[in-house]
Amino acid sequence: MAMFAALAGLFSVLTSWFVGLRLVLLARRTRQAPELLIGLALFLAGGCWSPLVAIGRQATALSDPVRAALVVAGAVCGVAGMTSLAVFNWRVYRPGAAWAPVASALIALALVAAFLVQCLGIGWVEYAHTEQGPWLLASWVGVGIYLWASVEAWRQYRMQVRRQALGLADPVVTDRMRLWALAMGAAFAASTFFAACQALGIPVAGTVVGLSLTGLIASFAGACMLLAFAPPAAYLARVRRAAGAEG
Amino acid sequence: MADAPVFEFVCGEIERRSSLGRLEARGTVRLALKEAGLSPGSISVSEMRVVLERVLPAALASRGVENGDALCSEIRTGAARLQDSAREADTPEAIFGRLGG
Repeated sequence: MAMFAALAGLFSVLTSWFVGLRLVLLARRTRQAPELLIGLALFLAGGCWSPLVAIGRQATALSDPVRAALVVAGAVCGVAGMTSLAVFNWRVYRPGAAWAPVASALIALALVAAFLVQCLGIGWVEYAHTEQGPWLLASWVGVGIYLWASVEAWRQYRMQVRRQALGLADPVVTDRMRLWALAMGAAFAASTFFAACQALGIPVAGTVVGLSLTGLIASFAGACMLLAFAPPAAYLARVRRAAGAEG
Repeated sequence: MADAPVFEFVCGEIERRSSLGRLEARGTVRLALKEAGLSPGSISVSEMRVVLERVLPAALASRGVENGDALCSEIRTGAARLQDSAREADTPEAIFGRLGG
């Protein structure tokens, strides 16, 4: 089980790096903010935050300063990545809503505040050892961001399905929206479970339950990301064939 | 987000050519767009033409408007003369269309 979880986690991290960087490079070509925001969110939150904090927390052979530095680096990636995802939600799904930029700003402020209070309070060595302190708030902010992303993604996907039924939408784009909604749903479920365990003091890291869930969700979300943002030609052909058969 | 010119045009035409009042006409078109997965703020002329052909006739019939098919057909012809210049280009569909890039 430990080997499966490690491989699944590695797959998820590598996928986040690959897809995230691919989208950042796409943003360089198109000069558009949404691809930059989603690319940064995947690379920093999915590809850096979790692995850096996991190593800082669990690599007990490392010295305390190194463990603290890894956790701090992970937290900084978490702040930047989750803020990018919140701004993506605003710019893509709610560009005209007055509350959306306010929500994004509050999310960013909450993350920065949790980070600074952890720095000024019990510090990051303590966090690396016990996973305690104000930074725990970031887990719940993450739950909120993933919930927002899930709701918006599913709402937009349902609208896209209706457009497709009238011949007004590309089935490949509809499928991409479905995969993004699935990935965000999985991220929401996982982040809620782990934040709840963290808050209740239930140790799941390294346990059979924790490793199984991590492995399953990481594999699922990684596969969704790959198929959505770096789809093989055969997969796209299959999506088009299926849409043609339905139409 | 302001409503698209083609949305305003279709609502105005339905109000002018049928027994529906302003609020009923706008509500009917809004519900038809929702059923089609479209938004009044970002709908294009070509999308509205499809809605006028495949969704609005039934919506008008359900509100007791007679000859909804003929009415929608006439409005479709008029809508074809509109431009899409005011349309918001970066819709979620357009953005996700780029992300496979």
